[in-house]
Amino acid sequence: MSAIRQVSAVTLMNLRSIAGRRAASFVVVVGMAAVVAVVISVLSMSSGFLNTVGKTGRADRAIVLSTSAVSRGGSSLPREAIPLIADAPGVIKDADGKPLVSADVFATMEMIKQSDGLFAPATVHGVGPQAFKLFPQIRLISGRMFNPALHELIVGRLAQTQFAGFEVGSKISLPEGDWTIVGNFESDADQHESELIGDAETIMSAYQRTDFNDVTVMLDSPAAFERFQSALASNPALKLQVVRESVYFAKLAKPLTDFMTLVAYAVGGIMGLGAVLGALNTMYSAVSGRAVEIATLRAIGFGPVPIVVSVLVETLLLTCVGAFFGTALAWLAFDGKPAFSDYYIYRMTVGPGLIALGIAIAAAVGLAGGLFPAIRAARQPVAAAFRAN
Amino acid sequence: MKYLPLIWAGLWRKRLRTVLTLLSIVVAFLLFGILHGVDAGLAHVMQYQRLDRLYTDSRHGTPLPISYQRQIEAIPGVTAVTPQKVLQASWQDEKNQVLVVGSDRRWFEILWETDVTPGQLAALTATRTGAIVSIACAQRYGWKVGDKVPLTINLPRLDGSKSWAFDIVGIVTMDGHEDDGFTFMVANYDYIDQARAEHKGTVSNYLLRIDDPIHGNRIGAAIDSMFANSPDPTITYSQRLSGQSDLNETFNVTFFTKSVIGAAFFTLLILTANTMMQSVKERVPEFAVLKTVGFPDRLLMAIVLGESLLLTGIGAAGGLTLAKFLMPLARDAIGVAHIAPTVFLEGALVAATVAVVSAWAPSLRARQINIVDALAGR
Repeated sequence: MSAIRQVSAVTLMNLRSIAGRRAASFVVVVGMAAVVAVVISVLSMSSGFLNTVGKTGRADRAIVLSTSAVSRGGSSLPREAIPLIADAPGVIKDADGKPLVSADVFATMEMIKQSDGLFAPATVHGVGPQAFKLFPQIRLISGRMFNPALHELIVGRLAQTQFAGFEVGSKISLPEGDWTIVGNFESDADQHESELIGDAETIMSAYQRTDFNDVTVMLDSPAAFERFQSALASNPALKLQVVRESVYFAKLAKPLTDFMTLVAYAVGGIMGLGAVLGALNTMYSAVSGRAVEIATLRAIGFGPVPIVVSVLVETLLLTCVGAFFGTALAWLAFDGKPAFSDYYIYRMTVGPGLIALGIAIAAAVGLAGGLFPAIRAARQPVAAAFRAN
Repeated sequence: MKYLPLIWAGLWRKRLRTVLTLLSIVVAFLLFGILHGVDAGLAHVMQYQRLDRLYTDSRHGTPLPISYQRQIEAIPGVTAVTPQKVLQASWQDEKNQVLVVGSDRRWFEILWETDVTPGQLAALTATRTGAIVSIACAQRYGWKVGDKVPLTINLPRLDGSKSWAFDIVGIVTMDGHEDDGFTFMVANYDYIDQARAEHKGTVSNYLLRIDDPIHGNRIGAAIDSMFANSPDPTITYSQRLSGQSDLNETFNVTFFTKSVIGAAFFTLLILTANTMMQSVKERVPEFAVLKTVGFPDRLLMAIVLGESLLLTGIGAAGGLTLAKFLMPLARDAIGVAHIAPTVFLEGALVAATVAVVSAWAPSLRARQINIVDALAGR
């Protein structure tokens, strides 16, 4: 009999007998599903956050902040600095010869969330006249663009679904009276979708601000960054730092994603250990319960390899079924669901990477939990197994 | 007690299976201890944040007029109000950050967690440019009481300069902030307001204390409705709500903990029940012998239950002890380092429940054994 036929014969025989060991096999499936569901759910938050915040940044855009600021909110740039930044080398110019820059201002307002009725801060982002050439990903899906001179705002798709009172046409109370939401935009599901966008000058006068927060510039090319940076650094009057936009957003996402990753792997690791123990227990008792059957196979000429493979396949099958249910659970519960963090709204994502991770965990647990019982099964002395019964 | 050796021997009949089951229980309770510990720890931290302390912030993030102070004070139930003008300052180098809170002595009466002395408070009131600094500030920058420290604040003075000098009149430690390096100082609001060039007569927010936490919602609503139609509407919330809301936004800890613990214990229950079932099944002839020599059914059931209790008891104790020792490692990541005693109590209850539920079916089986059939191997 060929080795492959031996393996498949023993494996099939094994699998058919799973029904007889229902409760024990169930332990492995449920344990595995729990591990995979927890790990994937937690990581879906961090991958969603990375997707939303991380992809907002582009390598050919740069953000100019004041020297000590760690974020745009904590940065403050005087009006005089703006033309100096806009005219620096490396900044791309439009057809009319105007540099593509946007002096931004950020403000927040407390709005009521639709989900739980609690207050949460919504971000108001004031932009310059060139902003929509700078951020071509922003597209209106309903309504119209705001008029810079009026108290008008456009709202991001995600902000609109998360907060109450952000419909096109509705009025919201901001400083200096009511502001009207005149449009609704999408932005490739990046961070801008959780913002309200309006004219920077109008917002600054309403909020009694005199300084801008930061300036975003479009560069000639990603490589122009160094030129732009050194030009601004050579002017000692400007106390500025220049950050590549992609780097800025990656850094912004890091603390939260690091925390999530730690939780996922710490909790998942402990649960994974539990799953391995459960699989070991189940497979050892499966093997010892079938000692006579295995001894018979060995006696009629089956080699040790088919026995080992059959036990491993059984374990892997159980863990993979568990991983399937775990992934499905996490996907149904969290994929595409919005979540809040500080000033960001993002959608949790269960992507192919996470599904692959779930399968990898199942494979690892299956191997760790199945290998030793498999080896024991193959090594059982044939005569002893018959004598014991 | 005299049956303990019998229970013990029954437990170790299949050594490998018992060890694996025991380790699974240890892992489940380790998870229970850590997750529940974090959850309870966070709840404790939130409770510690006082409910009788409210913040009145600007609804729009714009400065609030100082005139609100008198109006808020007049609301029944409000016992103290202090303005806060929060400023980001730096000392000598931009990297040496200090958070300056422009307020007055009432700040320390509302935030009672400091070890401030009446003498320091009197000095703060008497010295216009006085400031009380956190211990972290004093240690990091080498400041002493009596020092005059010039700080750079992005808030122009009447003469246009951005340099602000403060006289240190006290150094305080704040409960819960002993070693977190929080560099802040409390200075006189009047000094800052009189000396600045812009936005005179405005504050960042108000900190207030109320007579009874139960009145928090009513007082908050009264304040916010009073200013609702003014150019600067307010939003008032308690410190606890703000902490809870922040935390829940980032991570729904309680929900996560409950789901994980639920899944882990469901698995554990099946595992233990399965182990007990198998163990009883294998020993049917032995139980038959015990019955023959006169063991009553009730005692056989008790022996099976005893085995199950012993197994989960040892596992739970091991897991919770391990969690207690591992917990301090989590301090940096989550800021909670201890497991509340109630967690151990709950752990014991859960262990007992798992033991009883998983021993139920096997113990019934042990009772129903027919002596003749069992001894005959049928």
